[in-house]
Order: sequence, then structure tokens, then C-alpha cells
Amino acid sequence: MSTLIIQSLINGVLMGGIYALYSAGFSLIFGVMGVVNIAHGDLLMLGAFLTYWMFVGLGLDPFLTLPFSLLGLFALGYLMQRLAIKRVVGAPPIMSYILTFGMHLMISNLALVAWTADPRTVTTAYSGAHLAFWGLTVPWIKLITFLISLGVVGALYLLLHHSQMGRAIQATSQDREMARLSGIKVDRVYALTFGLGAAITGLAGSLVVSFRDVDPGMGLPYTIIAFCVVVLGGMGYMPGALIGGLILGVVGSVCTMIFTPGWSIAITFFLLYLMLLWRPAGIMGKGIVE
Amino acid sequence: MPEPALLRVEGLEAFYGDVQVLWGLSLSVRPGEVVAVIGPNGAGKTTLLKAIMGLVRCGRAGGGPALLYDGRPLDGKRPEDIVAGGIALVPEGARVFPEMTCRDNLLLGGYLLRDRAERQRALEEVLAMFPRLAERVRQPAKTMSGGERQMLAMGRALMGRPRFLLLDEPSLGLHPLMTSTIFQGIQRINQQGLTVLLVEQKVTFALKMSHRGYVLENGRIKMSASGQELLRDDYVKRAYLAV
Repeated sequence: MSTLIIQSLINGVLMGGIYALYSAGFSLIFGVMGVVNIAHGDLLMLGAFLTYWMFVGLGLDPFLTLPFSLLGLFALGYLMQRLAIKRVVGAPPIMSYILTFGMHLMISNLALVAWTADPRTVTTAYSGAHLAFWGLTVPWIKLITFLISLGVVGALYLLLHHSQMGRAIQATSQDREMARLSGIKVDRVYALTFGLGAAITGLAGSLVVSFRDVDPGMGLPYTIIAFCVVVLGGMGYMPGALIGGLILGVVGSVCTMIFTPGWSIAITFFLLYLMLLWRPAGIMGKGIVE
Repeated sequence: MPEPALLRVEGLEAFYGDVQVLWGLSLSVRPGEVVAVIGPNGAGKTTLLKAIMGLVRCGRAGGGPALLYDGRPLDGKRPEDIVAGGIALVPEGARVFPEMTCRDNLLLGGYLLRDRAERQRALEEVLAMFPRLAERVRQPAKTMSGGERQMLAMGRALMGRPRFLLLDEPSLGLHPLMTSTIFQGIQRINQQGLTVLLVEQKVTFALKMSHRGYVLENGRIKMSASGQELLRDDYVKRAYLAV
């Protein structure tokens, strides 16, 4: 029994890392622009397909496709901001919901037309390899994915707090007019931020390909989980994405062990409900409350 | 022959939406001067500074450029380009970036400097000028006192190595001792060659340290003279000095 509990805690923590990764992008975009990006999960789906096609078409190892999805999704995010999202920054939140919901519908349905609803999988020679000790198993892929996720979230934090570009992003989110008066081109900062958020989300998509199937409709549940994670950790607060991701990962995994997977979703939402009631600024109280 | 103006404002009209705030305002600032603009609340002092920075819609009565900086028009330029031209604003209430540390606020002020080494040099100069900030470098700006935040806002503006500094009520909400510290700072900055346009409610303080002053009422210039002359003027005494 205790082995079972420890195993599910391990699974939860490993899952939490990837939750943190794609939620960090969601949180960043919200924190800087005030835009809730409902098409967020679809960016993850695009990253996943990019990896799938490079694996199938070019025989490239999924982990070697990471730089491509990082760059590809950065470019896509940058363009999305420049061409569309730009117009709803600073507008009432409902405008960004409508716009990004429309983007979600367009991206996921275009993907459905292009690639059909068939789930696809990527299987590599090392897909089943795992560490085994004390009756516990840790799949290598999940462990590496977890470590990459932690590294990327950490790098994002360092970028935001210890580079001139990061300072420009922070300044723009705190006082847009004062940022302009410091010589910052805020439109470029917004595009860069959206690109950055999309890039790490695409990266998360490329990583999940290694342990789940890929289909055009996979995006929306990720948007919902990202929303839960950032509500738990605090909207716009980067370390919060990590804390929220780990909590949701563990809660989900323990619930799945004790009850059934269906219960884990119900309990996740119950947690979200309690958080919104009691600590709307997140567990650490450092998020943005509108 | 008088020196050409660094800033010449001619017939400036400015608007918030449909409401006109400035009505054909003209003034000039010569290189190396401290010029004060005094006037009651709502006269348009802040609007004048915002117009210079490109933050409000403005134009000139009868057409043509209303704002000439170094002989070139500023009208229609974006704030970030105006800042790049060497003008910096210290806004009313300091408006430092609250969640960033004192140091990060300053480094951000040097956003337009070419490289890290130059930003570091500018940072050292500013910290030498305001030793109080040097003690606070790691502190988030929101935890600093009002006077420290004002110093920080001035330091942030100086980080970009401007030629022309606009100050909007730097003494607002400060106790007298801090007020004189801030004004001494402004004087030192001016002695180092910076031209200053100062908007202020503390009339005596402002006029004493200014070469020239303007009285702004209802969006128009009511009178202008040297700082000393305005301090002795009967109208200014009655309306602003409560003598």
C-alpha cells in the first residue's frame, strides 16, 4: 500500500512539471497583457503535431524536435499578437475571451480538416525504458520531461528578473505608459511576450508526445488545466505556476489511485472553486486579482 | 543675440477627448535654464508636460507644429521616440515600477543606453548623486518612502542621460525636509548642464531656484518673468503666496 502511495506521488510530481511548463506560458501572457488565451492548449497541440510529423516524416527523435517547436511556436505567437491579439490588449476581458475562443475554434478545426481526428502515437526505442527501485518505477521519458520542464520554467524566471528584456516585460505589465516613457516599444514587448508564452507551450506539446497520443482536439483540456494551475499558484506569478502545477499533478494522481480518473477532475475543479472563494490571488497571495 | 530655445512651444492646444485643456499656450526654455510653471490645480500644468511627451492629443491654433525641440517638431511623435530624443519626464507621484527593486527601476531607466557597461556607469553616477538610493538598491520600490520614490523616479529619468528634464510636482506629498533635499537635487542636476522644466505647487521653492517662471491659469499663460521678479510681483503674492 505504501509503495502504491509513493508511486502515485512520484507520478503526480512528474506530471506536475509539465503542468507547470505550459501553465507558465499561460500565466506570463495573462500577467503581462491581461489576456486569457483560450487558444492556449491549441498552441500545445500544434507543438505536439510538429514533433509528430518530424518524427514520422524525417525520423527525428522527439527530443531533437524541441528547438524546432520552440522557434516555430515563437514565430506563430509573435504573429498572432501582431495581427490580432494586439487589438484587445487593454480592452475589457470579454473581448480577449471572444477573440481567443475564436482562435481556438479555427486552429483546432483546421487541424481536424488537415490531420483528421485519428489519435496518433510516437513510439521510440526507449519508450518503455524505466528506472526501477524498491518496487517503484520511474519512466525515463517522464523523468527527462520533468527535468526539462523545471529547467525551462527556471530559465523563464531568470530571464524575467535578470535581463534587460525581462525588466522591460515587467515594466510594461506594471505601468504601460511609464514603460513607454522609458523608451520601451510596448507593442514589441507584447509580441515578444506572446511569442515567448507560445514557445514554451509548444515545447510542452513536443514533450507530451512521448507519453500520450496526439489528436487535433487535445488542446482544450490543457487550457482548462492551465487555468486551474494559475488560479492555484497566482495569475501572472511565475513561481506560482510551478507550485500550482505540482499541487494539481499530485492531487490528480492520488485521486486516480484512490478513486477513479473521473474523480480527479471533479476534485481538481472543487479545489479551483475553493481557491477562487478564499485565496483568489493564489496560494502565495502574489497573483493578480482583477 | 539670445540663445536659441531648446524647447519652443507656440500656440499649443491640447485636448482630453473633446475637452480642450490648453488654449494657445506659448513658452520657451533655453539650454541650461530652470524654468518653472506655476498655477492652480486644473490649470493644465500636467497636460503641458504630457503634450511635450506625446501623451495627449495636441495641435497648434492655426496649424503648423506647436512643439519645437532643438528646432525640430515633436508634434505627432510617439512617447518612446521623444524619450529617445533626450527628453525625460518625472511624472506626478513618481510612478516607479512598484514590484521591481530600486536597482531594476534604475536599470530600466537606462533602457535606451547602448550596452550593459554604459548602464552600469550611469547606475553608479545616479547612486552617487542620491546616496539614499544606494542603501535601498535591493528593496522593492513599493516598500520605499514617498521621498525615496521621488528620488528613484528622478534617478530613473537620469539613467537615460537626457538633455532636458521635465518634473511634475516633485514635492507632492513630501515633508519640508525631503522637499528641500529634492530641490537641492534638481539644482545639482541643473548645474551639471541639464535643462529643467518644472511644474510645481510649492511656489516659493520653485521660483527661488528658477531662472524664469510662467504663471499658467485656465489653460493660458497669464504672465511670465524671471523667478525673482515673479516672487516680488503683487499678483503672484496675492494669488499664490497668500501674503
